[in-house]
Amino acid sequence: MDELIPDGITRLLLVEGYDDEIFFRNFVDHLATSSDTRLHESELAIIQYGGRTQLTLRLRELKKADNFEYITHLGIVRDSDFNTDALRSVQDRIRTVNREGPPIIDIPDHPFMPTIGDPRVSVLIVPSAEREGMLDDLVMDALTVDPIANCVHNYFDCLEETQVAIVPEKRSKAQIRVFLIGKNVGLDTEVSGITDRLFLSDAYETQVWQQMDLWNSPKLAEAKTFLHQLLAD
Amino acid sequence: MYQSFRVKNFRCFKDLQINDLGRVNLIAGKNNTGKTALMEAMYAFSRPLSPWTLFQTQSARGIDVPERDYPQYWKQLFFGMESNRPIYMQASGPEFAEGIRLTIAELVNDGSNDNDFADYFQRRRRPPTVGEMLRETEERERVLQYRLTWENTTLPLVVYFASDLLTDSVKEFQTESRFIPVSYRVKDEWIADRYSQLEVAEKNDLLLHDLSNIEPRLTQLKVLSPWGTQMLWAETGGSSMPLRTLGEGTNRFCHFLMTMMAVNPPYLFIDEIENGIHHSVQCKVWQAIGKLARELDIQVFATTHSLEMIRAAYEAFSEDDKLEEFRYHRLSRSRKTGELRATTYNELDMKAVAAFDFEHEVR
Repeated sequence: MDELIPDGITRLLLVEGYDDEIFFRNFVDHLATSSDTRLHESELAIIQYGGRTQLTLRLRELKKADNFEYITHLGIVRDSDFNTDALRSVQDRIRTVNREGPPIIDIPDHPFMPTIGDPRVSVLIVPSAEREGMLDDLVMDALTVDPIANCVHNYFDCLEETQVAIVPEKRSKAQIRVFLIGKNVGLDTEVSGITDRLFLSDAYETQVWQQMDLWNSPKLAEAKTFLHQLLAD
Repeated sequence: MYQSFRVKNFRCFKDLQINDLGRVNLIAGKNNTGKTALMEAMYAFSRPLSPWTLFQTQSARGIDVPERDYPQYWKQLFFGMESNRPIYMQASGPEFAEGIRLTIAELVNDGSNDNDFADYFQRRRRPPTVGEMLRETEERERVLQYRLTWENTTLPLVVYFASDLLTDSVKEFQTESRFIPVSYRVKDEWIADRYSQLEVAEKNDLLLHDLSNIEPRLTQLKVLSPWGTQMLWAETGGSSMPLRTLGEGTNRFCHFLMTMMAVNPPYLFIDEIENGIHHSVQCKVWQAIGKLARELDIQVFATTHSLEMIRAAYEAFSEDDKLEEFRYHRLSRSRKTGELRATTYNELDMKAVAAFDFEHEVR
């Protein structure tokens, strides 16, 4: 059984789910090979907390974990969902676990700006602190340079006009699926073989994001800085 | 009930503090992190007038009094085997708001003969008489110095127990606590006597009920002596047999229950509680222990290596809506200082670990 914080880990990145973990793991790998500055990517553990309601529980568990005392940087990624004050929600959850006793976790005042405590804590709200949505929205933003992205947007606009009900919170997830199918990701060699599961994370095996140079999109600049702060000295 | 406990210079502990103790406490940790040693310390602390307690803990570890070099035997109780630094223990709790403290130190140059002492241990055939000398030190501490008497010979222990309690009598802190080591089979006579006590008190049906959680075929218990020795017999599936012939888990659980119901100690220490108990009944074992601890006002401490046992405890106290009574403590060694430390999981912490289905190591 794995330790929650393995020996040698000094940086933690808390993300909501599996797709987020794969996205940021690949993003970190890209930064590690392309950055001019020294990054401590080998000292990073990415841990899922399973959605906003579970963040308190994961923080509580982390505080009790062996090796939490060695954590120097703690990053938290949260979807803004329908809440343009997602930062406050994160602050409230940190405050709750702080009330339960030491160790005390710094509470960031602003998104994207690390605290100066030990550990340094920073929060990244996706797609942004000012906009509702989730990681998939941020990725769709970054894909706008690709002609297929336009087709996808047009397709979904068309669906909306013909009053086909797309659950609003799932729209960007659905768009990613359609986009990936347009890139021949997830299509089996057999005619009927479209994989049951086709999400953001499934694109990595096919190198589609790398081919599109997704990581260097200006739309991901804030996320890139956030990771740099987490991984640099 | 102890709420916190601190121990210094005892076995592997240079200085360990454990807080937020509950009614039922489960202690885990990797090998050599002091799980058993912590319970030994608390056990000794709960019986400050019984110098034999520390020797019992040595014996339970299979450490016998050597023929010679007796001081080495004694030194094994001290951190780093350095007996020049006294063992210090302190506890707080609702019954003793000021906290209580116990110091155990080596009595230096008292003129005792180590060989006499070793001979005594080898010859002992019955419990010794314990004499005590009470005096006050210049620091106005109450000091108890123990001497063991055997066949008209008085042998001073090479130790004294000093208690700087502010109360008039140290005796109020002497308890009938019990320690159940990892591999220990209690004598038939003890089991039979305790069962008889329960029968007189009309509590034997409760024992039968709890034991049947482990052995559902069990329908009756009775004391018989077909071979001259009183033993507890069990009726299972229509046939009778000595309880002892049933499995390790059933006998061990019976020992736990009888100790709680018949001895009713204020503190009960159980080493490696999972031993012999199948995972499918562990939850019921905890429910029985939790219920007795609650009703009889017993504070329970147990050690484990088993994640199944930790989960079972969580499930048992959750199901009974008594999770606030349960505490889980993990002992680990700090990589920074190399010293042992305790991390305590309360109700909220256990719910957090359970929410992620115990997916990461907590032992």
